[in-house]
Amino acid sequence: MIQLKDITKYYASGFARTFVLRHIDLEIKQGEFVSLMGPSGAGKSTLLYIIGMLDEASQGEYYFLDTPVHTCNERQRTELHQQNIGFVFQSYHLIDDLTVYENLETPLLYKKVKSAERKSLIAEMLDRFQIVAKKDLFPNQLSGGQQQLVAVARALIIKPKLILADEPTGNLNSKQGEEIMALFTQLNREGTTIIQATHSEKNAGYSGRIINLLDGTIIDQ
Amino acid sequence: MFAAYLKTAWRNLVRHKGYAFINIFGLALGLALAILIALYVELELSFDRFHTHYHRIHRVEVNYDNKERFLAFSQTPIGPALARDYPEIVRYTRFLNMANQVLLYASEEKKYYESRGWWADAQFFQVFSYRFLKGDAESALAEPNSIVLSAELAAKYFGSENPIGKIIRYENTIDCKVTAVVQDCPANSHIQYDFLISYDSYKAIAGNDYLDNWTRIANYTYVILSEKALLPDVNAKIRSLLQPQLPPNVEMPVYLKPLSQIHFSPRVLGEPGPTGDVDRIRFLMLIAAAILLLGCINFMNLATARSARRAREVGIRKTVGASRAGLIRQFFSESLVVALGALVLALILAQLCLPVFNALLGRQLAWTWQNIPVLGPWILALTLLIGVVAGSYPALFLSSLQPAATLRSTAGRGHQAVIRKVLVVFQFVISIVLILCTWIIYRQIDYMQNRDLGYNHEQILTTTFRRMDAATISRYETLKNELLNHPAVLTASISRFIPSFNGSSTAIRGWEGSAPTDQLLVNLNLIDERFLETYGIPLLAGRGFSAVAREDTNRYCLINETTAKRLGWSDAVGRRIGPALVVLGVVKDYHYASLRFGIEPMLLFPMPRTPQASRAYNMLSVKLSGENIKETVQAIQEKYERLFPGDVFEYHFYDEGFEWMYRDELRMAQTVAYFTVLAICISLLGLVGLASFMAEQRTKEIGVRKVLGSSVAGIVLLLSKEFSKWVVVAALIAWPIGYFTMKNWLQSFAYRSEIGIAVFLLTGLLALALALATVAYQSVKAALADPVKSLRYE
Repeated sequence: MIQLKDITKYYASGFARTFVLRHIDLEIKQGEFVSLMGPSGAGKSTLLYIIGMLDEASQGEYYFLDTPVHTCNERQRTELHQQNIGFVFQSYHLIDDLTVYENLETPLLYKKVKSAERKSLIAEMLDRFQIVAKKDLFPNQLSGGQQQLVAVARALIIKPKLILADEPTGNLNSKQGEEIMALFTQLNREGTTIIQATHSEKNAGYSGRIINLLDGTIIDQ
Repeated sequence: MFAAYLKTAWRNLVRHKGYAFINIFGLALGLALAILIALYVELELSFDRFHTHYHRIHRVEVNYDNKERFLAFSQTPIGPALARDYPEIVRYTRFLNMANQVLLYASEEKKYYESRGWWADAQFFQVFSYRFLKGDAESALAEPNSIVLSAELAAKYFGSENPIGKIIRYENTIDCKVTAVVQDCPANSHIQYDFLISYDSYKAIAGNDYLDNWTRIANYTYVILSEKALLPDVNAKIRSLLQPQLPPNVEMPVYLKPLSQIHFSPRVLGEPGPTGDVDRIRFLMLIAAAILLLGCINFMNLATARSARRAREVGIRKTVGASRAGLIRQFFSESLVVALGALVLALILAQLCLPVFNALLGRQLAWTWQNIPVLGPWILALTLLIGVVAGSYPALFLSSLQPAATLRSTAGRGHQAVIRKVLVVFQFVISIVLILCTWIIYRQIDYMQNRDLGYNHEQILTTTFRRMDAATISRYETLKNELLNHPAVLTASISRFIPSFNGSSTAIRGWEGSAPTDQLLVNLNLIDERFLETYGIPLLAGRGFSAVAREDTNRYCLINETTAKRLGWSDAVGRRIGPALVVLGVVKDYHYASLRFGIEPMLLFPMPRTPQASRAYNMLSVKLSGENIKETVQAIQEKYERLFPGDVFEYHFYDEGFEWMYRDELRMAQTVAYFTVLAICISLLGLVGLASFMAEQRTKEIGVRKVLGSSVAGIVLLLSKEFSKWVVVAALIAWPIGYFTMKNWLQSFAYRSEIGIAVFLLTGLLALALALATVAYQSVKAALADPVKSLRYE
C-alpha cells in the first residue's frame, strides 16, 4: 500500500541543511498496524506527515496505492488524500468555530458527499462514539478525551483505507488512552491500515509492527 | 458548500466582534464616501444631457479683449443676425437676467422677493427641453406679458388652485398672465430659473431701443445648429461678426460653445448658473480612493495579524481534505461577506451624511430613478472589488501554507510583520498629508480674511435697492440725507457696487501717451461723494467728487494706483483718458475682490443723477458709530419702509460678505477637514486592532520582562516605541508630499501665507499623539497584566 524509497527531508537554514529524515526505505502493506517509535526529534511526525501528504519529502519516491505521489500535483494529492486518509493529532485540531456536528461534516463537504448521505454518515458516527448529545457543542465545551473522540470520528467518517495518528493519546488520561487504542485495534481488525507515532511502549504494544527511528533514520524494524 | 463558507465566515465575525467591527466599519466609512462622491460625479457628468437637442445646442460667447476674457453673454442683436445670415443656425433663443431680487405679487398676502427669474423669448422652450406640467412649449412665452412658473413657485403663489390664466404683477410695473407651469429645474441644468417672463415685456421697462443695441453686452444667446453643420466651420465664419460694430483696431471674436462643454469649461464670465470643476472632481475621487484604501488596509492588516490563528484552521482543513482552490473560495467568500456587510452600512451612512455633503459641495444630490440604475452596478462592482482586494492576502497566502508547518508552528511571521509595518506607515502618510492640507488651507483663508484690505469695513450696514425706476432716485437721496442726520450714523454712501463685489468692467483706449492699438481692461464703479469717506479709502492725489457737478458724470473719474501704474503715469491728476474724460484724483489701491486675485485697474465715476442711470443706484452703505446698533438699524428700517411703502427692508453687515467671497475656499477647507477626520478615524481604528493583537502576541515576552524586573512604565514605553517609529517614518514621507501639494495649491492665490516649518512639526506631533493615545490603553493593559498568569498560560 505504501512504498517509500530513499525518502530524505531537510530544512534549509542559511547555507546549512538540517536533516530531519535520511534515506528512509519502507514498505507498509494493506491491513497492517504500525507504530513509529523514537525520541523527540527522531522524525516520527515528519515521516507521518509525508505519508499523509501534508508535507513533501525533499527527495526520494513515494508510492501510495501504486500512485507516484512525488510526481503528483497539488490537486491530485488532495484528491488522493481526501479519498483515503484520515488523520488524528495529539492536540485534536478541531475547528474552533464549528460545532461537533459541523466538524464531522467538513470532510464530507470537501468530498462532495450528498446532503442526505452526509446526514446518515454523521448520525452513524455520533451514535457509534456515543456523542449524539454533544453534537451542537463547540470544541472548547468538551473535555480532551471527548475532543479526541470527535477527532477520531472525523478521521473515520470518510471510511479511510489508512489512518495516521500522531501521539493520539498524548493529551489524554490513561483510561481515555486505552479506549482510543482499543478503537484502533478494532478498526484494524476490520481492515483499516493504521500508522501511529508514539512514545509509549504500551501503545506500541497494540500494533503488529514497530519501527524505531533515531535522528531521521530507521534503526530497527 | 457555499453555505458552509458563509457559516464559518459569520461565526468568525461574531466570535471576533472587535476585529469585525473595525473591518466592517472602516470599509463602510470609505464606501459611504465613495457612494456620495459617485452621486456627485454622476450629477456633474449628466449636466444638461436631458435636453433633446443636447448635441446641437451651442452658446454664443464673445472673447471680450481678444485675449483671456471670455463672456457667457453677448450683444443682444447677435441672435437675430446669426439666424438671418447663416443657414447653419436653425434656431436661436435669447434671455436676459433680472435684478438680483424682484418682487412678484399675486395678492396682498402672496408677494415675495424672487431671485431666479429671466426675461426669455418665445423660442426658449423650442431650444431647451423642460417638462411642462401645464401649458405647452409653443404658446408659453409667445405673447408679451406672459409668465412661466416652476411647480414650486406655482404652489407658493397659488397653492392647489390652477394657476393658468392668473395674474402676477412684476415689481409694481407689469401684470403678467401665467401661461404655463414647468417642472422645477433639474439640479443638473446649468440654467436655473424659477420663473420666466416674455422677453418683449422688458422693452416696457427698459425702452424700445434697449434690446436692439449693439453696445450692450448682457444677453444670453443659445442656438441650435443644423445636423450637417460643423462647429469649426461655423466658428470660422462668425468670428468677425461684430467687427462692423466696433471701432477700428478693436477685435472681439464671436464663437459658439457646445452645450456639452459649458459645465466644465474653464471659467467664463457671467455663467447663468452653477459650473463644475474637473479638478475638484478629480481631487474628490482621489481622496475617496485613498480613504477606501485605508479601510482595505485595515482589513488586510488585521487579516495578516490573525493569520497565525487562521493558519491552523487552514492546516486542519487541508488535513480533512480541503483543496487549495476550496480554501481560496472560502477566504474570498469571507471577505465578500464583510464587504457586503460594509456596503449595507455604507448605504445607511451615505444617506445620513447626504445633507452635510450637499452643504459642503453646494449641490442637491439625491437618489433618483435616473441615477440608481447607473450607479447601482458601479457601487456593487466596487464593493466586490474591495472584497477581492481586501481578501486577497489571506486567500492567496494562507491557502498556500503547508499543513505540516501550520499545525506544528507559526508560519511566515517575519514576512507578515514587514507588510503590516508598510501598510500602517502608508495609512499614516495619508492621514498626515491630509492634516497638513487642512491646516494650510485654513491658514490661507485666515490670512486672506485678516489681511488689511486697504479699506475699512467694520460697522458698515449695506442694503440693496430693489427699484430702478427714475422716480425713486430722488427718494434714495432723501433716505441717505435723513440717515446722515441720525446721531448714530457716521456717514452713508450710495454706489453701484460695494468694495468687495465688483461686477462691471470695460476696455479703455486712447489715454494720454497711448499707442493707437493700446487698450486696458478696467473695472468700473459708480460712487457718490461720500463713498471714499465711508470706506476709509485714502485719496493719494487730486480731489474727490464733492466738488464736481453730478451732471458731469462722464467727464471726471478717479483711478486707483494700479491704473496709474499700468498707464505709465507718475502724475495722473488732470490727465485725459480718451478725448473727454479727465482724471480727478488717484485713490490708494484696495482689494476689491478675493485675495485669490491681484489688484486690477479700477475706474471710479461719479454717481449720475440722470433718470437713465437709475440702474447705478444699487447699494446703500451706512457707517454706524457702533453704539445702540439695534436701535439704529430699527430707525433705518422705519425710514426705509416709510419712503418705500410695501417694500421689505433687508440688510447685511459688510463683514458677512467675506464669507461669501471665500465660500469656495471655505467649502474646500471644510471638505478636506471632514475627509481628514474620516481618514484619521479609519487609521486609528486599524491601529487599535493592531495594538490589541500585538499586546496579545507579546504577552509572554511582557511576562518574562516583568519577572526580570521591568517596570510598568518601561513596558508601556517598549510597546509604544514600536508605534512611534512607524509614525515618525510616515511623517518623513508625508512632509514633502504635503509641502509640494500645498505649494501648488497656493500658487493660485495672488496673496499667500507662508508655509512654515512649525506646521509640519506640529502635524507630525499631532499624528504621534493620536497614535500613542490610541495604543496607550492596550499597552497599559498588557503592562499591568499579572506575569504569573501569562507565563503559566503559555
